[in-house]
Amino acid sequence: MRSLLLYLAAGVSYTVLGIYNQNFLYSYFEGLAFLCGFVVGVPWVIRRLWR
Amino acid sequence: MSWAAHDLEPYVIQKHLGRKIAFLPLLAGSYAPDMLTKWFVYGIGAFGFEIKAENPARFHRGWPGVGFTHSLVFGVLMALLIYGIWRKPVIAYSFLIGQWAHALTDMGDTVGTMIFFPFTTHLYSIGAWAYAGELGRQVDAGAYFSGLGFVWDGVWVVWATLSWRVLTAEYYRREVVTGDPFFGWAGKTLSEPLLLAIYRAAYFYGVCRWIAWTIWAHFVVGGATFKGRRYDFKLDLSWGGPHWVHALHPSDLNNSSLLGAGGPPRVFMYGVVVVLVRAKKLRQRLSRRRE
Repeated sequence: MRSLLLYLAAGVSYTVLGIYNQNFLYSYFEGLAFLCGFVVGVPWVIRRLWR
Repeated sequence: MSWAAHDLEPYVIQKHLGRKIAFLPLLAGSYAPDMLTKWFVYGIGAFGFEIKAENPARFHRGWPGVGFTHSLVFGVLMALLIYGIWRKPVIAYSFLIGQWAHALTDMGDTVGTMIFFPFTTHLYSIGAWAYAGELGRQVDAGAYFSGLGFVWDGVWVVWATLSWRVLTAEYYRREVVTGDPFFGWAGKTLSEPLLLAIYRAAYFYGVCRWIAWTIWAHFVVGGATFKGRRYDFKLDLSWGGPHWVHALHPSDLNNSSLLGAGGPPRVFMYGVVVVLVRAKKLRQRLSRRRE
């Protein structure tokens, strides 16, 4: 469930970002980088800071 | 052209073929025809310079141009090349299925694709939505998301979402890792959450893109300007629409429908030679294995 919410948050953020600036919607690789950063990178950074 | 279908088709195919298919080559095949060409269609600018195809539509779909990337034979040649490099049939035919899905999907617009190149340069088109790639990315997006292209992509958004089980971690472990050599190999060094994100990224990108462009076109800007002319993004779901944009047709691209003498048949002959050589080597290898 936590994972699904994280993906949903990533989806909403990416959609809003794409509406604001369409440059973020141009390539699959931008979407890939954003998703990996959001669902893997950010939790990793938070875990590191939490310790 | 399609804006989200190429991202989402692989998940529906994955659902039907399970571990018989390798997801990443399937996705690469689905992206392949546009991968190295699309930026040149819309143009790219830096330091005051802009590089763009003189005739974007012909470059993208026609001949002379790179329209051959949307043909069935191109998929076969690429699949043979991939087989030659990795020696794994599943990678080769997964790529082929993805590339064929792309070429067939793009027949939906008014320009269509040279599906039977190099036998003919005729552009096969269903003509359901307007091709407006020559008007720049923003007007093209506005036109696409105002016509039946928007509905077509919507079908894939719904279909892929109904196939949601392929996106679960359990399905990924059971079918995708088993079927795709990349995920099996990468799983030895990379974490599962990262590989899951890579596997789900095309679905994520396709759905977000479809929603974002639709909202942008109809609720945020409502229109865009290209070379001094304003285009209002009015929804027009009639066949071949939207009709507020000048849609290109096959006759605007390729003058001849059948290949004449000269370059193209020579390219075709090279292709035939490559296929024959590969087939001969494959037969030799199989007979050696039997011995």
